Formats: sequence, C-alpha cells, structure tokens
Amino acid sequence: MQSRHIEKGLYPPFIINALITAITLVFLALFLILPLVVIFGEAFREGISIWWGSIVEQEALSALRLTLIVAVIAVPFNLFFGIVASWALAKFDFWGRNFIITLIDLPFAVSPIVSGLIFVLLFGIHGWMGSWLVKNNIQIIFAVPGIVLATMFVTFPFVARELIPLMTEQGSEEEQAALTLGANGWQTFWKITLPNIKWGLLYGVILCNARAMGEFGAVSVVSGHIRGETNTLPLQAEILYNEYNFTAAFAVASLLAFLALITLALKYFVESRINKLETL
Amino acid sequence: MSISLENISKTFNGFKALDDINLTFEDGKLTALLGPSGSGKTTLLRIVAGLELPDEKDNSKILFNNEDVIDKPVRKRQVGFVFQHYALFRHLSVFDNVAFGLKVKKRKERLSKSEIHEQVFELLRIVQLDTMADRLPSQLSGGQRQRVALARALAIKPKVLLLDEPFGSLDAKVRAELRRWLRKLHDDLHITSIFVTHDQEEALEVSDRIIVMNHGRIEQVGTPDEVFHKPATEFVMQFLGDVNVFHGRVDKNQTLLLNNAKEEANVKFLVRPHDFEILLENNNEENIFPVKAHRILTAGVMVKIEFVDKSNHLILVHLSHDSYGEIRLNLGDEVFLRPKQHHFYDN
Repeated sequence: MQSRHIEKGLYPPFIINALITAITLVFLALFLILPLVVIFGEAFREGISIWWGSIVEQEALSALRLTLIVAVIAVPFNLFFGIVASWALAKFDFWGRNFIITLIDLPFAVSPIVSGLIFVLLFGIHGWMGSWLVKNNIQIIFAVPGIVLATMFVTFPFVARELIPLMTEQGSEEEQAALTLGANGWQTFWKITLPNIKWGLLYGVILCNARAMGEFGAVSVVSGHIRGETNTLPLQAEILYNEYNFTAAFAVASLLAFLALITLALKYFVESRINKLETL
Repeated sequence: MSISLENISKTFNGFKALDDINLTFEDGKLTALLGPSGSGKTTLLRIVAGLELPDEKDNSKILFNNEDVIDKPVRKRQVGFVFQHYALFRHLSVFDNVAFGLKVKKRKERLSKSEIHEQVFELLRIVQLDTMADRLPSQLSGGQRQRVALARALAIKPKVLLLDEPFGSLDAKVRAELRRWLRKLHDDLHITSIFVTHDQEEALEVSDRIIVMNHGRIEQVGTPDEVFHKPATEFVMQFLGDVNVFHGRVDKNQTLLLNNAKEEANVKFLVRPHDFEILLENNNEENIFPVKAHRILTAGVMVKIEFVDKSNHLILVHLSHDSYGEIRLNLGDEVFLRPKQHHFYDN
C-alpha cells in the first residue's frame, strides 16, 4: 500500500503521461520518420527502373565516386590524427592542453560555409597562396583537393572528441604496466592502448564517415559545382532539385538516406557493445 | 639485488617531492616505505622503477647492484611493478595478463608457446588463481586482481619487486590475509622488494626494514622494532601510533620535569597510551599527574581510557582488560598517572 502511495507521487498521472508520450511520438513521426518516408517515396514514385536509371546516370555515378574518394581520404586521415591528438592530450599534461582541446572543436563551432571560405581565402586564385599555386599549376579550389581538405576540416573533431574523454578516463596506468613488463612503445600502443579504445574509435569513425559523405556547406563553397567532376552526392542532389528534376534528385538523396540508415544501424550496434563492456 | 639511491631529488612544479635522498635497499629484504600522503614515498618508488625521472643532477645515481641505471628506460630495468589500482589489462584474460611480459620479448629471447603456458600456470598456481585463467579482470574480486597483478609482475623474473600501496584499495579482512600471504611469498622467493604504504600496522607487520618518510625526506631507517621502540624523531613516534604529548624540562642535574607549564619547558615528552601506570594514591614520586577518568571504552582488545588533567588536557591510556579489572576504575574517579616509558624531543 505504502509503496503504491510513493509511486503515485513519483510518476505523473496516466493522462499526462499518455499526452507527453503522444506528443513525443507525433513529433518524431513528423520530423524524423516522415522526411525519410518522403525521400524514399519520391525516389521510387516512378518505379524502380527510373530510380535505377537516375542512379547509374553518368553525373550521379561520378558524384558517388567523388563522395567515396573524399571519404576514403578524409576518414583515415582523421582516424590517424584523431588518435594521435587524443593520445597526446589525454595521456599527458602540458601547458596549453585545455586550449588545444577547445581548439579541436573549432570546426564544430564555425558555420560550414565559413570553413569552406577559409580554404578559398587560403588557396583560391586571389587567396594567400593563390599566385604561387597558379604559378606551379596546382589547383586546389574548385577541384578534388579542395573538397577533400574542406571535408577533413569539418570532420576533424569526431574521432578526437570521442577518444579524449575515453582515454582520459582510462588513464595511462595500463601503458605504464606494459612498459615495466618490457614492452616497447609500439607494442604498448598495439596491444594495450588500441584494444582499449577500439569501440570508441569505431564509433567516432562511423560518425566521421557519415559527415564526410553528407557534408554540404563547406564542400559547396570550394567545389565550384562542375558537373561530373566536382559534385559530391549532396551537391548533385541539390543541383537536380534546382532543375526541377525531382525524381532524380530524390533518387540521389535516397542513396544518402540509405547511407544514414546503415550508419545508424552500425552506431546502434557499436553503442550496445560499449554499454555491454561498461556494465561488465 | 641491492638498490642504492644517491642524491636523488624530484621537484614537481616547484614542489619538492623528494629532497636529496640517499638510501640503500638491502638485497633480498622486504622494505617498507612508510609515510603520510605527499611524503614522496610513491615518487621514490616510481623513480626506482624508471616511471619517473629524478631532477637532473650530475651526482644523482640509481644503482642496481653496482650498475647505474639512471639513464635506462623502464622496460629495460626489469622491475616488477604492482600498481595501487592493479592496472590489469582490462581486455585480456588472466592468463594473457600474466603472459604479457613473456610474449613481448624479442623473438630470440622469447620462450616457446608451451613454455610460456607452463610458466604462466606455475605462477597462477603460486597466486592460487590457476582455475581462473580464462576470466577477465572485471570478473575478479579486488584481492584476486591484486594477485594477478603480482603474478604478472613476477612473470618477467624481476630483479626487484616494487609494490605501490598494494593493499590500499582492499577491505580490512582481505588486506590482512594478503599481507600474510605476501610475507610468505617473499620468504619463499627472497626477491628484493620495496612496498609503499601509509599504514604503519602494515609496515610493522610485513617488512624487514622500514623507511619512514615525511616531506620528501627520510626520517628514520630501521627494523620494525627499532622504529617502533626507538623512534628517531617526534614525527616517527607520532606516525607509528597514538601518543600523548607533554611539555617538560631537562636540566643538567635533574632529568625531567613533567607538567604542562609551557614557559619553563625546553623539551617535548611523548608517551604512548600503553606506557602508563595508574596509581590510586600519590606516593610523592616525581613526574606524576593527578587526573580524572573522563571516558572509558571497554569494547576492544584493550581498554581505552580518556583522562583529563587539571588544565583539561586529554590523556589517552590503553590498559589490558586484566589490569583494568584490578584497579576497578569508575567514571569521574581521581587517580594518578606515571609514565613508565617516554621519549623526549627538543622543543
């Protein structure tokens, strides 16, 4: 009797409870599920063959290829530098450490458009290094290198953000123990540090990859929108949409949405893995 | 292997953690580094291991037997280090934890797989964990983890075993058990061992020698008996157990004068609670205090009595149950205390 009394005080009445749940569900449906349904609905509206036709169309394919190239370069780069940066920041204490941790968040803090403009200002024809680049016949802006650079910049924080708290919490005692047991630095990293962070690392890589493939703003500024050359999937979707080619636009968008779903599934799997490890 | 430290100092951001330490750890002995937190004992242990570097001075030396290892990195010093929080490899099984030091050796020094297997199980049998070889550290109790850490440290056949507060995070019962077990292990293996502790009881019970440290300096080096019965400084006496502090006077012709008249005092007298005699009458001896029984605690191995003197000064006395039964003391009774043993230190 008493416990029911207490429970009554703890939880809101049924009506309010139901109302809150309903509002949440409606909100989720409207803002998350409906757009997804619309994307796939529009993409397949004129049948699967038209959808397939829009995908294998040359410009779409080249956009897909460019998107994959960018991810294949940017993600490993961020993986490597993310690990190095987190290792340095989490396992050592030095002057300016907190400032650098804040600095890592810079790409998150500034608008993607500004991120893109930074690279235009640096490498564009009228930019700081522009005349030198022109003289040496190197093109960065309105070309693939610029897109890769902008994507790397925008996605830099994902891995580091994930690893710094994890590595800080784990401390460096296990590494010290490995050293006293005769392991060298390399062995310590591969056998101790990396296995301890692998799930967090994978999580960071998944998020980094999703953003690398989906980034629009920064890439849009540096790309130049050259069809079949410097368009990534998000840019291609926008161009098609602006040309009232809705089916094709949504077909390309459905690829990105599909990618997002895979990312979510992977993320879910990795998260449950991490939770399981933590409860052990 | 004996270990000698010469002129070792360590400064952290201007804080002197170790102040010019000169010390020898004898071969085959189990030595305790005893002191309060912040006394530099852990820093000293980590410097021996090579996990911390001493301040750079030309005459600083860390001698393993007679070889100066000050420039040798940790992994080449061949020290077994047991961390306070075990620092077990969380993703490796008990077996793989213990085998780690054997597996990371260079190929030509490395044992075969079956030899490693054999050695690891031998160690696991010593620490009584051979049935748990497949478990992960998270599936073990604190005491078991500590034993895995010890087996792992012993696997590399270390020249010296260093233990940092090895029982610090265990509950009292397991602690006492592991303490005896460590002593027995040491008696079997005879490996030079140094362990850090802030628990005087632990140090007195387990070690062959005790080094008492305070503020980055060594206060006393000696056997447990020596540091307990002949504390070299007031700090050592205070740190190794309860004490009552009195002010007194030592003159040329007169040995002592115990009272609380601070003006004339030139020394401090320290008396342990169990070093008092309780007299029911004043027999006109010198150095006797009239006191009143203020509080009596009979639950425990000893009877603990708190007396107050004239100036409301608290005096703690420990008495065996037998002696307590003889004097039949009640709260509020006025009796006299005579110190049977005391130590005095300059004021």
